[in-house]
Amino acid sequence: MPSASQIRALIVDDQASIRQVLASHMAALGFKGVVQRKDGKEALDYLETNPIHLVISDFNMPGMDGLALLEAVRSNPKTAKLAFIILTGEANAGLVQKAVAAGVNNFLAKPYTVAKLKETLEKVFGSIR
Amino acid sequence: MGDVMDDILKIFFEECDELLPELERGLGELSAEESSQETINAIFRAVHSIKGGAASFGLDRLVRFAHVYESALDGLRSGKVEPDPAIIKTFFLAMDVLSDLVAEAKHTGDEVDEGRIDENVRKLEAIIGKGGGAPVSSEVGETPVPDDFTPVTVDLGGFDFDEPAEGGGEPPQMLTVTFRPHSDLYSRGDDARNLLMGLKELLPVEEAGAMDVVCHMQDLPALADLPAEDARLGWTVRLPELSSSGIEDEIQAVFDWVGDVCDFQIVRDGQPEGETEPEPVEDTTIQENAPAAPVPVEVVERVAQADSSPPAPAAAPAKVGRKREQNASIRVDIGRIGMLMDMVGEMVIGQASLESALTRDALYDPELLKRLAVIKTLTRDIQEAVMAIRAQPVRNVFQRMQRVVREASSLANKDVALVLEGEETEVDRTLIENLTDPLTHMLRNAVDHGIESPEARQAAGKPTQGTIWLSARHRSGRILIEIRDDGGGINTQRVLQTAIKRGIVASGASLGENEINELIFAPGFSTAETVSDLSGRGVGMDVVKQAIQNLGGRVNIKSTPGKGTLFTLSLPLTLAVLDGMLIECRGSTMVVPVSSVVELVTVQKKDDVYTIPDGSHVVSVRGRCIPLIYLGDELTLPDDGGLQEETHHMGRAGEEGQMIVLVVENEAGARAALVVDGVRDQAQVVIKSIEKNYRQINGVSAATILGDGSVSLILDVSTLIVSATKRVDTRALEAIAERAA
Repeated sequence: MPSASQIRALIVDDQASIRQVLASHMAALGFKGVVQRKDGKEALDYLETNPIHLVISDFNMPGMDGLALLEAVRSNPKTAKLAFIILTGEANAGLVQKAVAAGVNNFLAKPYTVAKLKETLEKVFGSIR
Repeated sequence: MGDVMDDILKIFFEECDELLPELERGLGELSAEESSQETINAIFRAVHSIKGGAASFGLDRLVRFAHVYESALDGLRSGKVEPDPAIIKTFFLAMDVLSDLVAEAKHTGDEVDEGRIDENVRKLEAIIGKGGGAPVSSEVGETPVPDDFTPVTVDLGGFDFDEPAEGGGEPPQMLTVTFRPHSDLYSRGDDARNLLMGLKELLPVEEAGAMDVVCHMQDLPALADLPAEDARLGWTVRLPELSSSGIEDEIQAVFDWVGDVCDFQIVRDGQPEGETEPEPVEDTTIQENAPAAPVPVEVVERVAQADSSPPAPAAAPAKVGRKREQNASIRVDIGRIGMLMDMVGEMVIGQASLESALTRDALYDPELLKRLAVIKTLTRDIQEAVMAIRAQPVRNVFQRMQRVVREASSLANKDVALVLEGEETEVDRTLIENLTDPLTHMLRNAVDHGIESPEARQAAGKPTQGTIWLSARHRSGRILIEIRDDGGGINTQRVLQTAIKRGIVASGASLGENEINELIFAPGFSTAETVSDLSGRGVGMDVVKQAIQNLGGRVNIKSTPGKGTLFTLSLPLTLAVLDGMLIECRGSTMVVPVSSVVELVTVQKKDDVYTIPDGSHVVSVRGRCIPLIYLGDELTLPDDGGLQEETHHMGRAGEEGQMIVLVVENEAGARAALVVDGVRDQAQVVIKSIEKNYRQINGVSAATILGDGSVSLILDVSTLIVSATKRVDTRALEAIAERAA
């Protein structure tokens, strides 16, 4: 329903290469002005003052990990409703369950294709133009 | 998109260069007794990140191996696997494979052998099997999402997609940059136009139109009243924040050069301090003559205040300072630093030349000399600062040695631990680069020849695991690197036999223990009975010694049979400048490194100098007998008659009168007394390689250019001492010392 360019997205990953690959894939899908932050703490600082619709975050990061970020986002009324997708390459059922309990919207498994990224996003936002 | 991906791939490889050492550090901290969860997480994350990145770039070989490695580490993380020494070793070997696979992907290394990968995969999988964990799936990138997970759609009603941008497709975030140059900016030759262009360049070409520029002209008086040198204009620029999160830093960088002569502020939409409106301020816009509008902009008011007292540093927002601190380091091309170092060297020479001119009678001026002294201090500070830029801890080279020892010990079927000490010791970068090869060779040697086989160690009552210590520390202006092992020590009999067999020494030669030990540095020497995979590669310790000497260093050996061997490398901190004592000898000025001078004494020829039975001379200084070196004779300096005739003979034993001796010492603590005609000065000299321009000369390490422009030789004290002590029978020395006492 929304156009991709209207969705304000924030990518959180400690690896610059992963962030940039994802950002370039999202640009290919029509996203504009995708913001990148390198850990949970920086992401929260950004979310404090900037309205964001979508967070795509890595699971395993030093300091505040993806799960802690998700919990912090959901516990703040300002950001509680945004879409949260966890990017992960780990086959760890325990973490997945915790993320589901914390209210994750979807998962994106690494490595992914642009088509898979689009599908993952559409399951959250409906079709993306 | 190809280029973009190539650039990102480069970033990924840089990440690998950081992650692999992190992994190594983590594994080093791992032990069965005590392993913090934090360490284990860091290890896991390093491999996990490499896998994740590699997957994004389709580096399949790397991904496959990293996946197995990661699974094994997951067993460790979940506590199913205990990190016993065997498992830690497997992790280390797997790290080496991983590192080689990264090099392969980078095309900086050879293709990794399939058999080696398989073997390591098997070992890693065995760990999981042993730990009772789930079998490792060879499927890479399986989805972590459980089948029963249903994605949660978001409630779009909760969002306002149009706020605050005016329409769809509008970039989400706008930044407002307000700036007003002081007149100083223009008088420096800069221009507000450059700043505007700089801001425009931050945007991609297709977005350049998104920049909105407003010029504030409300302070502009009528032309007739305009003071030509005043700065009366200010600008407000609105530009979108694009994907790069660092745009604020980039804007900051545009103003970096003019921060002190320009008020400026960056305000982000929605920020508390950002009451900024995009509407033009009471003025005329560049695009249109917009109707007059109120002036609600706080920023502009602040700028106006600053105008009354032109250089108003307080007007600079506090934000600026915080941003600047973040840029704690910069990358500089090493060539530039090398150039700077060379120039500092030339500056030292130039300054010495100035000083020598000022001390000549005609120009002598104590006042000028006093000022020159200040410059000298500064020069030294600059030199030290430049050296500090080039200095790096030896950690990286040392840590690379872990792998060398690991590989060598696995090939030799020995169990060897490498203990690093003083890794934080800082050394000139060029020195570090040139240390890798000699150290690699010496450590392989230590594993191969130094440490005994586990059986032999057990028989000798030692722990089966051998230990090699690699340490670095500073000592009196040099860096000492020690390689110590707890092996069997050097077998002097075998070394001697081999040397005789190879024709290095004559059969029947009687050599002291130290001399025999020195034989392992002789060209063409190798005691390995079978040419092993390790050190027997035709490159001997002679190459190592040569490499160390080329760096201005020396190697010493100390061996205790049954206990181990100690190699000491002594290296200069820098290859560029040294503190020297300028001495005179037969009309030549020569330089002795101050670091090797013990003392300068005047001795009585008659009472203090002795002739020992072999005909050579020693001098007694403070009860210690030291071999004398008549420097003129030693270096066969020409005897050019006249005044020199007298000085030539001034140092002979048994004669009347005094002579000046310079007591020098080498790293091993051996001393010699250099007989010199006089001491002229102490100065910093720039080292110029003599080998590069001529050839190696015994007793001379390098040359330098003195303040008066003359070329002078820098003496190699160590070889002089060695040649003097070789001549002197040490037992005779002890006898004389007793007599003198």
